[in-house]
Amino acid sequence: MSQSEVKSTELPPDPEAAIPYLMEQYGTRVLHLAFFYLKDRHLAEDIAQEVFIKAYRQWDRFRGDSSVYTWLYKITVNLCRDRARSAWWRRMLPTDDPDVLSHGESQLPPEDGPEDAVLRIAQNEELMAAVMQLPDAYREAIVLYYYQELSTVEIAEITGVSDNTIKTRLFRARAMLKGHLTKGGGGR
Amino acid sequence: MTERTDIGNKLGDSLKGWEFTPAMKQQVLQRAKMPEARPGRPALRTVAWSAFVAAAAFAIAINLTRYGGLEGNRDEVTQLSLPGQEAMPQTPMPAPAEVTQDSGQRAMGASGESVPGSQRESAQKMAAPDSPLSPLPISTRTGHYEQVSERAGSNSLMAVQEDSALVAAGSGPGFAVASGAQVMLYDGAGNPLRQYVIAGGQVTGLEVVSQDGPIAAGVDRQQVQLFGAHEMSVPGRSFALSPTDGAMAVSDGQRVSLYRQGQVVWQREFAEASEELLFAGDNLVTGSVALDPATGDVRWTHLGQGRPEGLSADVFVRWGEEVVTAFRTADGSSAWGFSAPEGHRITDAAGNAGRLAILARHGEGAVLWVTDASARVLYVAGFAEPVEGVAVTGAGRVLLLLPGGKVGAVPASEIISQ
Repeated sequence: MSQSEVKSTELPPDPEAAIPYLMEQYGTRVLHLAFFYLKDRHLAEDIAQEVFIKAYRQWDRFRGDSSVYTWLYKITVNLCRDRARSAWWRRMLPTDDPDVLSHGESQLPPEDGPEDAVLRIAQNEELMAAVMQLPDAYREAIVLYYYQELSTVEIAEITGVSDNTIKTRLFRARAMLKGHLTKGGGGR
Repeated sequence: MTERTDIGNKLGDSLKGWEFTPAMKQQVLQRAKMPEARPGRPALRTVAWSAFVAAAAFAIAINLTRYGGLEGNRDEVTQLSLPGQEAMPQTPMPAPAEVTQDSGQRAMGASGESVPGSQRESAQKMAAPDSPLSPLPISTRTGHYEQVSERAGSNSLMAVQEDSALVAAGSGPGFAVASGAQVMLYDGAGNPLRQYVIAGGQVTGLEVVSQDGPIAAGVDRQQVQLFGAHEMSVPGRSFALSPTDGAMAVSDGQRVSLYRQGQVVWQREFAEASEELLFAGDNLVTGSVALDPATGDVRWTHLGQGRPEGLSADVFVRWGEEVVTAFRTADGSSAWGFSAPEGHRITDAAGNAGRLAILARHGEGAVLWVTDASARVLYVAGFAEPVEGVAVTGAGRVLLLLPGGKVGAVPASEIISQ
């Protein structure tokens, strides 16, 4: 899934018009990104809304120096980090979300045969579980790189670390994932 | 398809169908236009937590002997619950039947009637200061309608009903205990004042404004019965009473209605209305929204989760099994948080008059913390047996609902002075 780039010059100056458009474009991605951080759907929904509220209120500060999605993801990452750091939320963050692993048949593409579908879902579940077990910094790098399809430079900008650090994290995260998936029978 | 896209798609598939919905978008636009809730500044938060930790350490230190009684037997609890007080012989209390006979108490109707004076006299006689009733071991006493002295510092057992399930307190020193289909209102000394009987249902919720003001009881989570000057029964799953003017808010899960003097003042529909209601400061909190009780207009929204509970005019809390979070009534921003230690599960929380009681289950027993509105721990104690509920009276007295329907009070002298 590639980012559908929205040029900042094309965005209306009025947040009343801009934010609904951004929610339409990036709402679900922001929601999913928050989930990868917080591992809780309710918290992620709260944070995702908070991201766009913040974007609405700070719209006049967005100068278009970075792409709009980088800006939104940066807000998301910061809000998630704040929430995860808060002492009183720490205990609320579950280690796993059973919902992630429950899939309805409606998610099966019609062209899949039953066996293919089961195999595909099993692999997806396994990958998801492995990603969710990664330490925060590595999970962050994997999600932003693979799921949000950002470049390492963009990830560095969002997370506030260097490009090289992101590359190192990606390298190590891949190794960890490989280890998880091999140990867990990833080749099923 | 590249490996990168493939992995991205696999991760995306796991979340397929879960989207940023139009309802969320609408909420964003509504909330964005409201006054901004300002989270606590890090520096202040650090100071607050430092104070909190220091106070907790102090409270734990001075209560260490009590806390150590978690694994102890009943005798240990007796000692541990009453540090610094010598055990005194207990005077057998009359069983409820005796009290009823002696006082000539009659079966009371739903409208509630005052307990006859003779019973009060009897209760006061039992509560004579020189009566050897105190201290009473809170986990070993059994009995019914026990009236004990209200001596300051006594860890007293008060009015009881065998299968009581709920305890609530209002702005004054009095409190109410609900049991089955009955609600009994007591004054601060534990003297029964009035009894209410719910027709055709069990009490599932209880709110008291004061011992003189209205009382509301939830019935089977389907009906709300208001007793007092404007008695009424309305359908609803949850409710709250305003401590200032006795207005009652009722929610059926989708619609919140506000009643004043028996009349509906306003009704408001919510897409995702919470069943929990609370009058906090001059707001009516429902779900994550604070309303103006006069008009039903939304004042602010926030990200709070958990059951709401009042604490002071400026702060209310939300609590879940592991966390209590305090929020400012002015704008819904978070003020501080309390996280239960490992192995403890928060089972109840009650606040009033600037004091918050947090009750957690720990093994077979319970632990109680009392804090002030700024998270300073004023009291910590462990109990070998379960404690089923807590309430804080308008006088700041912390009441415990004990197994068998007994009500105990935390000794005022044990609580660190605010």
